[in-house]
Amino acid sequence: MKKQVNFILNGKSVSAEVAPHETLLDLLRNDFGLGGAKETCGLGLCGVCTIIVSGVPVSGCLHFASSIDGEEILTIEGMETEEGLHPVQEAFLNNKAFQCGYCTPGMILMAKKLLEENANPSVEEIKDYMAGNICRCASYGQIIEAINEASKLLQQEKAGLNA
Amino acid sequence: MGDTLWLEPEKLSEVKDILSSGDPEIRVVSGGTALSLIMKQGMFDPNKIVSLKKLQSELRYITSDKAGNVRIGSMTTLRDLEVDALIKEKAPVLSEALTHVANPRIRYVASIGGNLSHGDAHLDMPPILMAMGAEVKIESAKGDRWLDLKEFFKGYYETAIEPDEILTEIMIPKQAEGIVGTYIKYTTLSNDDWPTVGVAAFLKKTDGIAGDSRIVISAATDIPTQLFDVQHIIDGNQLDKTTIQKAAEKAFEVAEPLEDLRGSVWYKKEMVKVHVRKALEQLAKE
Repeated sequence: MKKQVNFILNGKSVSAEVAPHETLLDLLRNDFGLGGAKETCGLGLCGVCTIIVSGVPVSGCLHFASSIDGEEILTIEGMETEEGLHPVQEAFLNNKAFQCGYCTPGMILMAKKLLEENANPSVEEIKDYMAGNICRCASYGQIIEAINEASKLLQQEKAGLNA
Repeated sequence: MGDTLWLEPEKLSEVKDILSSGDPEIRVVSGGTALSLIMKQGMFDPNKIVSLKKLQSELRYITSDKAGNVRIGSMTTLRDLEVDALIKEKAPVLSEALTHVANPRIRYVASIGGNLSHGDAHLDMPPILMAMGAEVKIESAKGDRWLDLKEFFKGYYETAIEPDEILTEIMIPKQAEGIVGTYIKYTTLSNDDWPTVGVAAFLKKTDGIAGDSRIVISAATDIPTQLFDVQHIIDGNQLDKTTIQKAAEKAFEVAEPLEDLRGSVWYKKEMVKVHVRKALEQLAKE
């Protein structure tokens, strides 16, 4: 039986009719045309379908679409603002932290949450937190460097705001 | 497929009312990571899904009671437990093990109540909680009951929860002074796969003599299994090389693993032996 869900998608109020078996990932891709998050392992292991639900990164491929009524959803498509790219996105570009780019949306969203919880993570902490995001081009070295740079950019941004 | 009804009750009493029909095709869902996977694979198609989403204020908490026992609401997420100061103090083996459970995305949403209710023998929390003597509170419209985790797991994906019941709280009893513990998991496939063998070991050392030991193996067997015969070898003895070797041999003898793609029966028995030994060696050093 379909159910109506009302939620905020990348800053805009939207609604949708969802089936009980539908995942959040399928809803965003099929009904809203958002292709950044992709189904890859389908088991919650690879991180390519990472979506942020009310501040928490989840595996979109395992998240019931029916559960998102009243939530705020952020996808990679909502990271850029009028002022430009998000600092984590900037840092990934600066460090060429990808080859094919397939895993990048998930990497960026996870890194964003990591830096919200831990503004200045060590390399070990980055590795632990990002272990569930797989990059088959193996750009891991550059990804770690990008997260380090993003950490500095975000701290500078914060210091600038406080100045 | 497609007729499933999604419900979001606002009170625990409403959940119990819905469950009181006793329909085994109803599923309670919290984080949903396990149920959605089973539904996607076409293994199960519930009539109704009862989401606990609106019960966070009732069922998501970590506290300690007057007796020093830790009380955890069933909707507490694995991530909540991983970073919680009280858990780090009272159950550090749990916090440490959680850093290696799935990945942060799963830990942010998967709940401890769901983790236990799922009845999956590969999970890491059941053996640790069982070795710590944890009990669970199970509620229904008919009333509440408490169950020792040792009586909770009944078989492969089978628990003692009846269709009209819901698990609402986990109680970890205050551990006696001087108790040390560890959890080791061993994975044969990729690093993020479920373990082939899990070993939780807790014991008390008094002047080098071990006592009150609790050795629980998981993943290799259909349910987390406490190895009483191994405990008998450990208790009352010096935790030295000879005792550890005897205990490990006994673990090999009594373990009854299931064969699957992670290993044959013989291989898993060997791995139980190796990891019981490793766990005890670690505790001998502490």
